[in-house]
Amino acid sequence: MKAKNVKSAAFLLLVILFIVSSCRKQYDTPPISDLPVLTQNMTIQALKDSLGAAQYLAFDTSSTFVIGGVVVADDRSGNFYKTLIIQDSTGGISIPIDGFDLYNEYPVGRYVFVRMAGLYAVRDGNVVIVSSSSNASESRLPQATYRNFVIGGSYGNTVTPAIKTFGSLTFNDLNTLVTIENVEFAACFAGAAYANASNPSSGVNVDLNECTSGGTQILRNSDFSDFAAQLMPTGNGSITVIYSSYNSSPQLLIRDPSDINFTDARCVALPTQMPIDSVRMLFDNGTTVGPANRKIEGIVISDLEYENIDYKSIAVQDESGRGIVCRFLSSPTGDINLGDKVRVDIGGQTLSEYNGLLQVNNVPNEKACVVSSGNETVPTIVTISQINADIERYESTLVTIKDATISGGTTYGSNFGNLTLDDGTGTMTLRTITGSFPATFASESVPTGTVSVTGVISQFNTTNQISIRNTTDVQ
Amino acid sequence: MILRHVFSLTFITFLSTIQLFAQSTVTGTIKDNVSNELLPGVLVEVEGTDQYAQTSISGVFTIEGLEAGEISLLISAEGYELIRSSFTVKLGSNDLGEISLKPSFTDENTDSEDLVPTIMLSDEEVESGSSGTQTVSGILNARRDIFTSKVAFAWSVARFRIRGYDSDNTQLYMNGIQMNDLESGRPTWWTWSGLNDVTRNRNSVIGLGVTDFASGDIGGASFLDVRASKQRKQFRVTYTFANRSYNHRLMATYNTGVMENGWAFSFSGSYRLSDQGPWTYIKGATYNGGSYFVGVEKIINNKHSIALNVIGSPNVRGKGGPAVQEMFDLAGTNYYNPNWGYQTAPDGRQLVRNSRMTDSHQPLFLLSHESKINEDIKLHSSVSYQFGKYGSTALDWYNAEDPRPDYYRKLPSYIEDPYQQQLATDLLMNNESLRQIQWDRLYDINRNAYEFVADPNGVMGDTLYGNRSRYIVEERRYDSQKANAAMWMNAKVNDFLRIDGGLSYQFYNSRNFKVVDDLLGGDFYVDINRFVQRDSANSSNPDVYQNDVDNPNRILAVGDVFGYDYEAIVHKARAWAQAAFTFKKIDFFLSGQGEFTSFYRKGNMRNGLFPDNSFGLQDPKNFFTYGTKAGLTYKIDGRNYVFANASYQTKAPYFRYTYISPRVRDQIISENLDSLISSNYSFEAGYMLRSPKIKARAVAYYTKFVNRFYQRSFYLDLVTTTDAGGAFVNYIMRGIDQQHMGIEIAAEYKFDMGLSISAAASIGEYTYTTRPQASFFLDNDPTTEIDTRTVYLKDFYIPNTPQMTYNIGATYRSKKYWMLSVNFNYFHRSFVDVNPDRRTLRAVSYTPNPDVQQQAVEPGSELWESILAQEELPGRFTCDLFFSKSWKVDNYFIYLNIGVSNILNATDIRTSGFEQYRFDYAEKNVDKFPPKYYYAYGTNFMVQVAFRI
Repeated sequence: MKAKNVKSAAFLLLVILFIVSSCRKQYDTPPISDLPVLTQNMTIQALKDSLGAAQYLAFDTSSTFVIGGVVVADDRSGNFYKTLIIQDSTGGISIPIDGFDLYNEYPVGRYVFVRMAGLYAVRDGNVVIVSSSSNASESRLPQATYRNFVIGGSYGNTVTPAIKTFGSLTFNDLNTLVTIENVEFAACFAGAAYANASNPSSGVNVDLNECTSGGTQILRNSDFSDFAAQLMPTGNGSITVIYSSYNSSPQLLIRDPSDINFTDARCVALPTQMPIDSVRMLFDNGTTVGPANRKIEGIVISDLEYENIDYKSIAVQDESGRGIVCRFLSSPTGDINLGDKVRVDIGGQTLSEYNGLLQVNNVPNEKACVVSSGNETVPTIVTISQINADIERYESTLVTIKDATISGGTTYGSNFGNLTLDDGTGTMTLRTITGSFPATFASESVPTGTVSVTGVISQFNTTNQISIRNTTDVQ
Repeated sequence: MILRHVFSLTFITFLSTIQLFAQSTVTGTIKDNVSNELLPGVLVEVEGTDQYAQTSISGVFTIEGLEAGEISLLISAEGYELIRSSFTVKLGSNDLGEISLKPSFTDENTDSEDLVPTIMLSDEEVESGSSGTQTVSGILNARRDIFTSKVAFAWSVARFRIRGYDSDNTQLYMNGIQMNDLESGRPTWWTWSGLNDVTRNRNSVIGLGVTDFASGDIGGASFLDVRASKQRKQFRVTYTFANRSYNHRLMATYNTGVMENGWAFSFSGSYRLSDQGPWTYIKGATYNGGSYFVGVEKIINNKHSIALNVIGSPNVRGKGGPAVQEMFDLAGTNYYNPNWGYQTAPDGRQLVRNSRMTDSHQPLFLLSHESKINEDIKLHSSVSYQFGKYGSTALDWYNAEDPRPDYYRKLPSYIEDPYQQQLATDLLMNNESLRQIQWDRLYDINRNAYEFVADPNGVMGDTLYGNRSRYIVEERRYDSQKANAAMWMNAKVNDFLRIDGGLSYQFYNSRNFKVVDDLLGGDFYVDINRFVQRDSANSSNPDVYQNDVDNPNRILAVGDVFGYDYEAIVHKARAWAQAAFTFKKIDFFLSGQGEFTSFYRKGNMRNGLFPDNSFGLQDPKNFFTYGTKAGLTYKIDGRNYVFANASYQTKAPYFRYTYISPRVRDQIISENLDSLISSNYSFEAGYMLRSPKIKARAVAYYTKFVNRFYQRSFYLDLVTTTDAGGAFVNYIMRGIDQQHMGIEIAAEYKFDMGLSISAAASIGEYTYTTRPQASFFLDNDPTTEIDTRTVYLKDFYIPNTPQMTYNIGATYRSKKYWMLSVNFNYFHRSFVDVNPDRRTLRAVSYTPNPDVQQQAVEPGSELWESILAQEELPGRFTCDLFFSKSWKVDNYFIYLNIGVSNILNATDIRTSGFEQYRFDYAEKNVDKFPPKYYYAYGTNFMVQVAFRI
């Protein structure tokens, strides 16, 4: 019996031991290790000088060159992507890395050493980058190896941005942090979203105007930044940016919106919107100058893609139901498309008729900007007699003429592009551009029988015309 | 007149009764001397004659037409020691009474669990139902049948699954309570892992044969009897040293047997440990498992007995994981485990820390009652309750680089620049720590992750400053409660008819949630969904990325529940009955069952994306299913049998696969519940030879599964037909039919001097026979079914089990209490699990709807083959050895067992593999996301010493 008790007790102990020992242990936190300090033996400027005008400079795998600098831009907000920018007292350089959320290890303010052995300094347009290959398009340091080259040092270092003007920015300032004062967003952009967050593809170029010089620089905002949906401030003030360059064109990038301090009053007031109806009434049969600080805002109803409109012009119709042609200094093809909502600053622009067609003429392209895309304008259904009775009312608007027949030629371009449209109430010209730069559909056949035609109304002296955008407008 | 006769270690009694005929009959009942179970199918022969008989289902045999006089009887059954004894036959009836057979080498047998290298499944596999090694044990009953013993011991290493079935096609019972998990159908072996001594009383049927405790499933059924009275009286301590999933095991068992006062007690406990020392195959796969077993039984009288069991197996284990071959090559070993990494301790030691730990303890309470209503009718009743924790840890991260060391962008093959590629290769080959998780770095990042959180804990305008952990360890919990009641009856109606039947009810509640396990040096974590937040389309509505919209921006500390929290609740009721007829030449049976299943989801957290259908008790989904089975055995003579069995059944879907995304919403694959019911029919026919010298079995089978479905959630690289770009999707394939057919052959020949040789083969073909339709949903958007695709899966193979296996073995049993056995195995025709979306039109075309040849990959080209072909794992040869010896010292027994598997040390045996779900649709480069594999252990051994009183 006693032996049994001993057995039972031993057994119980064992079982308790078994249960207790199979518990999960908690880990102690590792000690905080000292941050590395490498011997830095090359400045960023010296690296650029060594590269000189060459396309790339290879550092031998036995090279002992180490550059270093403070991170001035990281990928925290997403405005910079897979890139760190570091700066020392001589300049800045960009380090593309094939990694995400690099800011966790290399946040702004961290000192970073870069071991150049096995790497390249590569010229990418006007900027110099640290690259894993001699080819700038395959520059990113691989995820498997970048920590071998890029070594993080102390945290919390500050870099005071140099105060610059647009005019004083030089190549030496590329990839450095600079502050520019007395600037504001161009009228088109002030108060708009930083970038296209709802349908992200790449980014948006925003015009930043400098009041003292009147100059403009591009501020580049990524669609993928976490502030893309926020609205840009409308005021004036200072901005701190990384001065950069893309395809040899300078551009500025902020780290996040806290880099913008626009609290002062603007030097160029924002224009107010004027209905196209009112704009057309301003015209006094000569050359009228558009009133200051006024803009029109409407939807593009013409389509430059099919080339059945003057290559520098767009037709815009707004909520007043009236339309007008804007003719730019250079062709906006590709920049402004059918369905875009555009804003055109008409202050100081010429309002004149060209062969009877009213247009805002010689608009500098930067006076217009696209607010949104993919908008639709519903055409007004009218008869030709209604149009002929009040051509000015319908000029540069989108209409549909039903139950009409087309005569005078077999293709759109026949008879020099002037066909006759007859809906039983009257006739007008169905106009297609021909000649050296014809509409893309000029040689296509015209349908026979009764059709409905949608197009933009115009005048050529006393001739009333309708211009389709493409052949789907004829049904 | 009473005669007493002693046969070897057992004894029988027989009664001589009235003399009626000139010729005599001998009858008797044969049972197992450990479990007292009656043994059917035991061959009883009169030596030197053609006279023999075989025991019926109730263990009774009758040999007729004997002449009075001295005869020698041979009693043989697989897995039992042979009994040979002579006695004098009196004229007329001779009843030999009960004859007990002693299991051969029962005590020395180890469970296959100990032999199988335990490769833990990932959570995804657990949740998605991929089968693992656990399957094998489902049919384990090593001592009853040559084929099953081969399956258990020789083939399990290759992940052999009987007939290619998933484990949910085999039913597992403990004292009559079904132990298959109600959420996924898998048997829950881990409940009693480590309790080998007290879980030996097993009774199993493979395939469609008849059992008396359940109507069974197509894979068969197993019954474990753990009542204290069935445990062999002993005190036993066993120590095992092995280089398998654990290195050390200490096990102690004390059974009283049935004492004079009618009580029986049984205690058992064990502890298993992987010391991560030199005898470790998979680094980081730690093993720390305890277990306990208490059995109490009171035999009240001849009619009633009542038994209580408490069983538990608390254990903490580190998981191994599959990897791409590139990582195995860089590591220089096929036992590379991506789950662990070094962490510096405060004293500077480098600790191995595994990110994927499981921690479970689910004690089972089981109360059983047996009543003998009369000599011929037995009624069993059992109730059980099981509850407890199952946790599995993993890394989670927020706005940070993927911390997994084998992430594809971190591999040398991802790098194009040759210098950088070589550098990455050198770094990874020469520095073990770089191939692993960088725990110290994760801490460093968290310690420097100072930022503020706006509106923390939903307090508008408030701000919180601190280190917001970028990386944490989370523990995914699957805590369950199971309550079961079962009742079944075995009634002997007359000499040729037995009727069995039963009722059962099962309740299951599994609470699924996550808790913060370790903030890794940070101050807090925030309960938001980073994937939804990152989608900038949602930036206007901060509610949508809240995991718990009722507690927005909840600040999390260690131990806080976050992410998701829901309960899966299942009710299942079943009734079954069967009639078994036994005649002289023919046995047959017929059985049927009906089952009612009802399950529903209860959400405990209101998800921001799905505020309307994530929270609260949701509608039950009800299914009625049924099954029927019949079989016939024709006894050509006492040694030769032919048999044929058939079954048809319908099956309710499992909770886990029916919900599209159960973590966040109440949405099932189809509102048409009937369409979710699958069915299967199965047929088997075979021949059996049973004689003392030679035993053989050959079975041919054919099984068809109809209308199964498949549900997985993963990152799909090409979601829409118009847009390039990937997303996390719920991918559902419906209308999957499978065909499993083949033959199983096993034979054993016993030579006189203790030598026996055996051979077995399983030659099958398991394939998909339809082209299922795949439809998928964005995980974050329940309303849109993005696309429907035909998956060209027809004639692909059911993956990850060798479809053909062969074994030949020899065993020598010495009269001096030792035995040695050698087995040679060959496995082949095992295939990797395929990514279904790689077998769609999109995968082989460059445009969504190719019109011309140039828009598609050229059929038959090398590229075409590389995208579509299913990889076959190479066939492998292995050799295993087993030795055992026992000594008797005074009243003590000492046992020594040594098992060595894979003697040839083949370390390149891929046991299974699966294609990644990611695919390079644009470039069609199949090597960008290559398959991941598991490898079998090289030479592995166990040495076991047991001491028994």
